[in-house]
Amino acid sequence: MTKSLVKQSSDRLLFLRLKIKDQAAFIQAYEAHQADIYRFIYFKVNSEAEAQDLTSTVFLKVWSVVQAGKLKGYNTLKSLLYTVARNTVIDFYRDNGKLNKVSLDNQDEPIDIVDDKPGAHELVQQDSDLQIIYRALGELKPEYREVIIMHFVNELSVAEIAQVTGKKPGNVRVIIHRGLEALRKLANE
Amino acid sequence: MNDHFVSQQLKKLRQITPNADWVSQQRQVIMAQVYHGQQPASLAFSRWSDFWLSLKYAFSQPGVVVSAILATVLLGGGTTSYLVGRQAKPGDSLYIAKQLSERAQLLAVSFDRAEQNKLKLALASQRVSEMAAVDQQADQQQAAAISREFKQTVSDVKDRLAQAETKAAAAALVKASQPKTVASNKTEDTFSAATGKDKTGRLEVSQPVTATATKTPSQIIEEAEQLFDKQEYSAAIDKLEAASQLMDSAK
Repeated sequence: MTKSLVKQSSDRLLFLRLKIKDQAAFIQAYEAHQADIYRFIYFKVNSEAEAQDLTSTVFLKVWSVVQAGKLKGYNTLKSLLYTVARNTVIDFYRDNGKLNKVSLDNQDEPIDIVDDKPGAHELVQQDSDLQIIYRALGELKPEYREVIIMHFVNELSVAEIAQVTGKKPGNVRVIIHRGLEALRKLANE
Repeated sequence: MNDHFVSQQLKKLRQITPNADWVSQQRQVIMAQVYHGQQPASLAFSRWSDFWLSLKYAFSQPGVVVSAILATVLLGGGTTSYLVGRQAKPGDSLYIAKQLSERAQLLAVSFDRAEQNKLKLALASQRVSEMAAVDQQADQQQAAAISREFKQTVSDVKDRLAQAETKAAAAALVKASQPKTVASNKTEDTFSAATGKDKTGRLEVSQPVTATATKTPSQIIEEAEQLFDKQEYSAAIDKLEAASQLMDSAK
């Protein structure tokens, strides 16, 4: 809890510094959040290489937003980072739509999370329960998966998820509850 | 599994993190981007006369003259470093600058997979050229580093091509499973030169297309890898170029 409060306060300070285009603050923001943004994107695109490329793009876009002084629409550093990340993934699928007829983030065709590189794959192989959850996540509705990853894995609060998704906090709570229920059912199948 | 257990398992997924080398390289790319765009200290010159007056005053100060000379030397040195850096090999002090430049190029086309694959093949060709230039007996570490980078780059391209092929096959399956409303005209796979006669009056005969004549870009890249292993560097570069051209024509 204390750790979370310290992080929140640090994020708030970083965000204030970004408002005055502080370059060092941006580098600190990258160090503090690159892993979370990478993980968030990884579960959307199902590829280590694409997740790396898109994470880089996100931070370069965020820097453009900071430089342009367009931070008024964002309340927190996390809402800025996750909103840009979401939009970047949407742009990525739209731009590659002509090349890839089958979208990985399509509700009708759930993703099959199997990575060919060590890292996520190795981690999951070592733990049979985790392996079940990992597979179930791949079968989950993208809307649920996104919120589950943000809340349970990346530890975003309901209010923060509401800011990123543009939904009301009450709706986010409902999605978290339904998502967790759906994930549990899939894991128990 | 109950909800509590599921949420506990989900927390474990926090251990999924990007590769440490990549994080550190990206930090350098981002730092280069952030500090490169830095605005110089602003001096507002409303009129040219103000500018010349300021310049005259500035150069009357000995410190400024020394600084200007230093800046000229450093800027000149920076340009030279960049040009030399383009020829740098692993282990050289300027190699990191070269890597940053290559990564920036890749980032610029991060939304276009086809372009990114082509660029990666070009970078792989660059590694082959470096390998040909390096003394492999004397610089074993350098040769190993170039070889590792070459393998990683072509492996990335092959992975992406394989993913694209899987997706295309899945899309074709979906399309094939849909009911056909219009009867398709079945065509023969033949060259269309069966109508004329040649100079001797003989009829030209159509030939069926043979599937074995065509190779996929992935197969050509594998051949390039084999040639690289056999130290046939020139042929390896030719293969990489052929794969790139094939990918281009398949667009």
